[in-house]
Amino acid sequence: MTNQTVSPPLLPWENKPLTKGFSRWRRHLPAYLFVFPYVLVMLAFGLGPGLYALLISFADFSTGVPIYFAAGFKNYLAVFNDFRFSFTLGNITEFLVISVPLGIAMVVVLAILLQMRPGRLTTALRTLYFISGAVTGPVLVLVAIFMLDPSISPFQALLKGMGFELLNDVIYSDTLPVLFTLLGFFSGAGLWIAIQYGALEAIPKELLEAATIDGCNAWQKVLHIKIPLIRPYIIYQFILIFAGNVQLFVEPQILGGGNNLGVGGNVPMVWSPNQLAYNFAFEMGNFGAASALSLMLLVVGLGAAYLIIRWTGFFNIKT
Amino acid sequence: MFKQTLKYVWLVAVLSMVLAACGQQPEVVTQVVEGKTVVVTVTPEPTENPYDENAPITVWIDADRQPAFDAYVAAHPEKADLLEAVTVDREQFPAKVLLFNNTNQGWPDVVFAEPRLVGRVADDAHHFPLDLKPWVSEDVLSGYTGMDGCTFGDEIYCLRYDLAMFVLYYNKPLMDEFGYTVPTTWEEYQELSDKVAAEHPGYYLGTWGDGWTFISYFDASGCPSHELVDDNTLKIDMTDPRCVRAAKLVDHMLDNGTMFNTDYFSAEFASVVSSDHLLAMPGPAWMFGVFGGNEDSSWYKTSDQQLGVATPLKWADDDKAMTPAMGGAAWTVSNHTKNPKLAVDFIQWVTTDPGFWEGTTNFPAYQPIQSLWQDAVSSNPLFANDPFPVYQEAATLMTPLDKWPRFDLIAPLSEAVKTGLQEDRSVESILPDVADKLAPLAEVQGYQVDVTK
Repeated sequence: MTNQTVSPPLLPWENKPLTKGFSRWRRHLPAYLFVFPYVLVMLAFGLGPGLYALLISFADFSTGVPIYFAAGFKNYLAVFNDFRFSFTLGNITEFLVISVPLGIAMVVVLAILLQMRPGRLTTALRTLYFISGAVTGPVLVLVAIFMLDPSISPFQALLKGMGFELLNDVIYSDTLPVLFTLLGFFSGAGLWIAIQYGALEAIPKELLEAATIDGCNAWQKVLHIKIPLIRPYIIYQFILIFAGNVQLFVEPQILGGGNNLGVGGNVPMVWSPNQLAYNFAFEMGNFGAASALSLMLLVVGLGAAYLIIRWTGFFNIKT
Repeated sequence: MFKQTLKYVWLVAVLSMVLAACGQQPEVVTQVVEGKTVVVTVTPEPTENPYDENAPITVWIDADRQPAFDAYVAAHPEKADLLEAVTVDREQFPAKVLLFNNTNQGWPDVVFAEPRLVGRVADDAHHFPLDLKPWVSEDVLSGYTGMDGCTFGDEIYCLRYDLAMFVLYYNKPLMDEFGYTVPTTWEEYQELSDKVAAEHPGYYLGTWGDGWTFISYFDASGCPSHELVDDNTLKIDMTDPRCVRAAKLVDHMLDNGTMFNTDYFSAEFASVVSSDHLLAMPGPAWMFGVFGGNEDSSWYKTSDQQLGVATPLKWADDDKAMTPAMGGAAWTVSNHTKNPKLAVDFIQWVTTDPGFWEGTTNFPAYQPIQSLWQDAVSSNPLFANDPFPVYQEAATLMTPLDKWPRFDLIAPLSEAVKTGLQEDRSVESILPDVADKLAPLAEVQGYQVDVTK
């Protein structure tokens, strides 16, 4: 028994050397709390269903109820061997080749033009571009049909003048990729114009002033200063637009969609890979093959994102 | 840091996989068969009588069938509490059944649907309908017409509600004014088209623009574009003379301008009919309702005593006319129902009750009550002649092609027809396309397909 000083136990926030892990945990706690709701929702609606899809892509559905792990790679083979697989792959490739570069180019050009001449008119235009984005995909398709059907369109005279008499003259397999590009542009461009506009606004004024003093004209400023500086945002747009467009579904489904499901435009019942997945699940009852194809689409989207990130060094943090 | 996060992600991933696997209803058991381990799903065997006469049932209907449901409830007030009607889009019916199969619950007990949809839920993956043979007496069953579409092998999966056989509709005052006689054969119909083209251009004798218009001409000719040889064999022979003659007829009329070029319900075609520019056209029984029979109808507007109804056209070489069908529905019962007695009683009542059928606009499939329907239709001021004898005769002329395979025919046929029109190709030249569109769909549905094109 020696004299012992009794002191209350130290509380975690009192300055006491703690274990390394714990202090780091404490330091990062607010960050974890902020991400928590996102992670929760992502697990419930993103990763969870994705893993479930992985599980049932190996299940056999020939009896109508899933028999787990009984199918092996049969569902994946069923997708590759389906007579519509190469058709839908060709369609989506054509659509991506047209829609992704065109969509990005139009958005960047519009954003640059808007930002060049700030004023009341451009603010109004910026809002106007944004408004069409408030209309969701299915509604937009109906609006498009209203515009493009020569028998009901407000631009009837124009359409008939161009030699279009019936909806079938306007909507058919050759015009579909362009049509879907336009639909995608009007629903999504407003948002991206706002983002790119914001990126352009963030370019330091001194930089542009210095360029002006050095004798740079507007064209050179755009090409050599503005576009390189908003490059990360363009890459970001590419990744998201590409991943979104690979999953094209609503537009062809409503425009064609088969018996009583759509508005009856001349669109093949299965035009995009995502529609093929839907067809596997709800026409043929093979949820396994539907999951297999959905996962393949996911891999395409992720793969493209990975390649672009590696190629451009998107995530490299500048020091 | 990144590695640590990855570790957690894996943990969650593996956990959810395990949970997902455990949470599923059908129990997974492995068995050793011929030396190999095989996973089998065990469906729980019922341990007690699965039927309960007091179990409630759910009835899937469309808005037009609400009166039928209400009439049954009014006639059976003691069962009112057991019945629930849900209005659905029945084109989604096969897809919904697949989802219910996955969750092993939720099936409706009774569904109003065309035999083509019943066919689509009758395969192994859907496994939906109840065989009605043990539940409906032989006398009653023999009273129905058009039961081919409901018969699958030895089993009966639905009771026909109405028939949608085709007749020839014509504009009586216009025919009289032009001095034409109503054609009785397809050959006369073609001759009439030449006369109309020469003497009264701008008048029409039909339309060609989607899958239903294809059915209207090709099924009426007996063209084996989708002939079920047996439950698992589909014959597609587009070189058959019966296909070629139908194609030549449509081509001829498209060329001379008497065949319009949209589906039946486009705004353009409706305005042709409403402006009295349609001289005659084959159409299904219920179409008289579209010809201004209904106050709310936004389609064809015709005046009273104008609509003539003539027997379906026949090809001169054939013994008798063959009528296709455009719809014509039925009622089916789920094999998962807890109360088959009530479910079957319901579908039998709504298809056969004379009191309820008096005054409906659909042609009843149940023969003993067809004459009742006569009173309603014969006194309708819309018609120029008494249509009942024509409808009754046409009902006996249904083509066997009305029995559909287990996939949708209209979407692929529409594709072929519309693409042909868009590319300005003759109907005869799109016949191989029709085979190309239908054959692979049949194959993925497990049919043995016999194709000639």
